[in-house]
Amino acid sequence: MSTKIQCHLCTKHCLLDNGQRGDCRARMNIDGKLYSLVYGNPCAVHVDPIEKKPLFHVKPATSAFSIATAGCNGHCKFCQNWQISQRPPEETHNFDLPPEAVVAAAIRNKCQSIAYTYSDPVIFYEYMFDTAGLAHQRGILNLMITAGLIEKEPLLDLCPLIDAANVDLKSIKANFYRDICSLDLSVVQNTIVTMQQQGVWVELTNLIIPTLNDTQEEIRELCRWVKDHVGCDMPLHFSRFWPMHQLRNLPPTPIDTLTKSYEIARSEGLHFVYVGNVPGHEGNNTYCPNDGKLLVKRVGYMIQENHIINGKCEFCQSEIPGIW
Amino acid sequence: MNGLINRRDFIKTIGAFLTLLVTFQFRKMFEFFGTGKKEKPGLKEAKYYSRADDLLG
Repeated sequence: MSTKIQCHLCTKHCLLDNGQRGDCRARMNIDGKLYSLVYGNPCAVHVDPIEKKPLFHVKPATSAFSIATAGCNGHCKFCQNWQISQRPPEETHNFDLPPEAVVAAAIRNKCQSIAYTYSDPVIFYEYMFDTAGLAHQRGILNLMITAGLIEKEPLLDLCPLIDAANVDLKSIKANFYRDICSLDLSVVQNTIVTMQQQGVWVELTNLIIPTLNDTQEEIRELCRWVKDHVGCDMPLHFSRFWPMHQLRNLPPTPIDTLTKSYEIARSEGLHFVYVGNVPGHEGNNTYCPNDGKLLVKRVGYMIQENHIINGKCEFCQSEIPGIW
Repeated sequence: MNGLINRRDFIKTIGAFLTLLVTFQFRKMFEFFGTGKKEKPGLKEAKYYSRADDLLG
């Protein structure tokens, strides 16, 4: 009897012989059954400010207990976490932290949320799923930080457990996704739309990389996709690229490029546009889309002023979308 | 230092405080990371897959 199997967690649908590992390095065919190799064994465990995810419209100024395992179903040439995402679990230093221990540690460290992050939590799906269920039982929010390459069925099963997500929208060009990331733009776009439809609070991140995805036309097209498909209230974070991994030959993103992208997004009608990795930039702050008043003033991840009271603008009482 | 505070005692007190602080941080780290030992990968059967005899074509 054949022991060949096919994984259906993400759209790569890896076909695996006995002993063969999936593209993500974290799943393996063992005698005709597919196993996660990383369940309960994260290689990264930290307490981060929630703003670092980045999530600016979810429980500001709170801490997120953040975990990740080795492996990833993307292979972005600019990955800042490549030392864990592009390695199999036997090459990382892993900790014994089953789901119940994750929740207990989050509570002990006074975290209001658990973030599944750093690599892509799609590849440690079962670990995330079980932990998220326990977290909800204890009133802890679940945050998913993902590139979004996941099949529809597992996504729909997961959404009731995920309160908020940051999804990378790395480019609006399919060839960028294919050639630079080994991912699929159309699948990512479907994930963004589906998560929103399922009631998950979603914020997007676009890392602007000089010469690869930084033209004004591309930024404008990306903003128009966001506006047309998920609406003007979905926050969009532009992030600054630093030379990393396989793209050390490129320069950091000029601040002027980030500022111009910020202005394009605002001119296209997006209400909540942010600039990351540039402390002190106007794009660190949240402004009321109704009266333009400064609502949240941030320096990096630190909040200096917060004028959102019970989810509304303190000044004009307009509802500000998010989880407050 | 003259007067009410003895220099040697002052240094001892500061040293004890710093030792406590460092020890507490190490304890927190170990608590955080468990034993810190390299563990075998955690095996759990995956949720979404099909066997060869279920595959079409």
